[in-house]
Amino acid sequence: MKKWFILLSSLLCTACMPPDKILERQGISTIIGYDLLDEDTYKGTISLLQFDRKEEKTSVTISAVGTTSKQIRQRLEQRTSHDITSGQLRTILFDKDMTEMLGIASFLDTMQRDTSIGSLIFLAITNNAEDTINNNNYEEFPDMGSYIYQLLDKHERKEMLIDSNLHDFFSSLYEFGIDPTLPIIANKKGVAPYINSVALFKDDKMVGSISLKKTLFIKLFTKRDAFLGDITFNIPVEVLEKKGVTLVEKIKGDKFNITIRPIKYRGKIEFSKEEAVNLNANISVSTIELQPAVTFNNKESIKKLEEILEEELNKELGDILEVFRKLEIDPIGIGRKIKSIRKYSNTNEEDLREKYSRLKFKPNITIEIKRTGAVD
Amino acid sequence: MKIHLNKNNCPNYEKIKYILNESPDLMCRTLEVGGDCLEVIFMKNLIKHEFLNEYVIKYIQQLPIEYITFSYLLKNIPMDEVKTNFDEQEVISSLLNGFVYIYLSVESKAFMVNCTNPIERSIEKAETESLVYGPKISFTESLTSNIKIIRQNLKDSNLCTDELEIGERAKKQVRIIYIKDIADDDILKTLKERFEKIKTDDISDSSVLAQCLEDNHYSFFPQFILTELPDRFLYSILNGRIGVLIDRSPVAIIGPANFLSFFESTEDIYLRWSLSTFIRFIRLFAMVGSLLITAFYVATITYHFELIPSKLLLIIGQSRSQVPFPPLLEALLLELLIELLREAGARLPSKVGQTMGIVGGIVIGQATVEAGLTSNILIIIVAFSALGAFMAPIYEMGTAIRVARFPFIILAGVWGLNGIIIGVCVLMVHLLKLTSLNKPYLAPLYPLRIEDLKYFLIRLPHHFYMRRPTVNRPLNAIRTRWKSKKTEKDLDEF
Repeated sequence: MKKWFILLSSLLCTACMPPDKILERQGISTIIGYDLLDEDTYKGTISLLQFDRKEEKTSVTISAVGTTSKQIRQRLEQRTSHDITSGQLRTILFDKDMTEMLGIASFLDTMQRDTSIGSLIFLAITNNAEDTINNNNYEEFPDMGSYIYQLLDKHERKEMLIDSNLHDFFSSLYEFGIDPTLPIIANKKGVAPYINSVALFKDDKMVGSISLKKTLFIKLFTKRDAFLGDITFNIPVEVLEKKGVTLVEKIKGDKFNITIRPIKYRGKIEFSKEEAVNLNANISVSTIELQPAVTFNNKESIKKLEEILEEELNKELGDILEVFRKLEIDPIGIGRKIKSIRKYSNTNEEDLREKYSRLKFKPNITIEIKRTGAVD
Repeated sequence: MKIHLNKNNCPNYEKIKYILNESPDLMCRTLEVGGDCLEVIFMKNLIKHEFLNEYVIKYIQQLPIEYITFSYLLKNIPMDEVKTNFDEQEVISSLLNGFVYIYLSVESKAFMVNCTNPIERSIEKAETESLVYGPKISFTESLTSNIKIIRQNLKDSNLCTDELEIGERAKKQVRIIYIKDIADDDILKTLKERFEKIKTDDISDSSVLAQCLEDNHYSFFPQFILTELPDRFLYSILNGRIGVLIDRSPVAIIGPANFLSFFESTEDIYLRWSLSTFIRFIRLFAMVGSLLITAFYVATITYHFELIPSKLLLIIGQSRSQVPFPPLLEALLLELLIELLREAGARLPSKVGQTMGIVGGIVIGQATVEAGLTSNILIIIVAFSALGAFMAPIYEMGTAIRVARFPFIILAGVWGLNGIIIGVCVLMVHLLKLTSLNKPYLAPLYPLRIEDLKYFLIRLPHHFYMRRPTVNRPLNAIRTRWKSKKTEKDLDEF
């Protein structure tokens, strides 16, 4: 009893308490965006929740200019009566110019070291971060930060996006053999920001972008059971006829449109001979929509249709791999695969990149139409 | 005054009058018997006058003179309880218990007959532990009728009701009730030793007695179950516990108790198992919630706003924005307000009490929020925690939780979640150390007795209850043999 009393009073009498952060005195930032102004000056914009019920808006945006992220923060602090805290920070936006010219690793490094910022916050790229944050077209959300968070979170949960949080970015940045990707958010007048495409990185600099749909090929080989998303093909009728796919009725237009939904897939990067890589993947799909709605004659026709789709996909994959090679990037992680082979396990980064540029890719996707559903 | 003492050590009227400080209630009726007299001494308020008139005075008067002797009267007086061979002290205490003292001055011998007329209220419905289902009968203040209720409900020859007397000045009868071939002798011995150690002039109620018998007098938590329900009492006795009844108290003591048994109600047994299990979990959840939720609010608002989901953040932030107090003060204020209302409601007559509820609940709650003194989120939280404390079927446990809440709130206000964790650790250590009649308080959880969890944590269908809970160390662990049940045939079986 006495011991407890002494312990308790030694803590209480010396005012040994954590510094308090009472909710309503905090300026809670939910999103922060950085824009490049000059060569080494940046503009930081944050959106703070504001709790005054009399005000119609539930958030305020403030900006400040500085040379480091901490200086920007210091200057932002000057502009508000609340303590700016980053405990609820969910998204960091980067201006496109900045990502292309300077790289973002130095900014992210200080974020990573900040204990109040979790490593699961999202990163995204946009044309102008300040404008994006100032965009007022967010549906029922209290501020832009929560809107963009929901947007990215939804896409990640539905696996329409490759992982884009701070942790994933760093892990693929520092691992050699794979390069990071981040979503690009488009900001147009009058509409809420939306995800437009996916940025490709070489080290920490953005070098190009691919459409959301094409991330399918990255997911196919990097993830085990992601949701690949529906794939739509527009096949000219001649191709069908040339292949010999017989349909019950004749198609009137000149395009045959088909949407398939992957059920199960298995992607494997195989290192066959020196300098040759097989990208094998096996996707089981069900057809969910055919335009115009026709019925296939027999199993053989389906088999032939599969071949057409395979060709299409393989071609696309081949193209995209060429793009990657031209940009000298490797978001699929082929380098990682090479490194996992014992005799290359000591390869350093330069050798790996050099080797990557000489590789011969052989895409080999097979499609199996498991179910044709009501269309059958 | 000269005090006359006779050879048989039987005090006469003068003497008794002196000991009882010339009480105006003491009466002496002198009957002429031949040339001599016979004294009938009694306390006029404590006896049933019809008995005295009909079976004592009238009986003696109609007897022929030669029969009025000590031995004849002792054998033939038409009263059930007759006492002889007593000392002076016993005469006094028996008189105060409603006995009538009959003194034959010829032989200077005396005997006593029982004409007690105890104050008794009729047996009523349970007030503090009301049930929806099951028997509604409750104990009364009279030990005799309590024993009667127990005996009538459990006709077992092994049901023992050991008699004790405690209190040095105001002696009170205490009964230790147990079933001889079930209750553990060790526990019984411990209990009896505890009784011997009690030195007090008066025990006013069984709750006081329970506090005297406790293992740890400083604990927040009750270490005996106090109940006014005979069915709960008997259920515990049958599971190997020991019960104590004290005269003039409608509440029985059951021990050894463990923490979880304060969250079971007899209703759990009467209802179907699925519902009872659910309700038990609700009770435990309410208990934990009631203990910690206000503290959690204070901790998160003061130190850890990061923990609040972003959608909730704005709602809480908006409701907090106008509050002029720090969260700790705000929470303490509101908790005190609720306690105030509760205490006022309990003390006021029931008709006024209802008005108090409305005034307190609606007017004060609404007004404080509108005035911006508290946030409405906190009102919800405090209301929940107040409600949660009343979920415990045993009233004492509810009060313990209500009191234990305040240290948690203060810890949360001072050290945030760390404080709550420290508090929970201290609480856990305390509960682990606590014993009830030397049996561990957290019993089926620690030490873990998996087969007992079906008694204390969940309920299962009835055929799972073949053995008595092992935490009470029953001598006879088997309730029913399942095999005999298995051989029973279904209606359509041949």
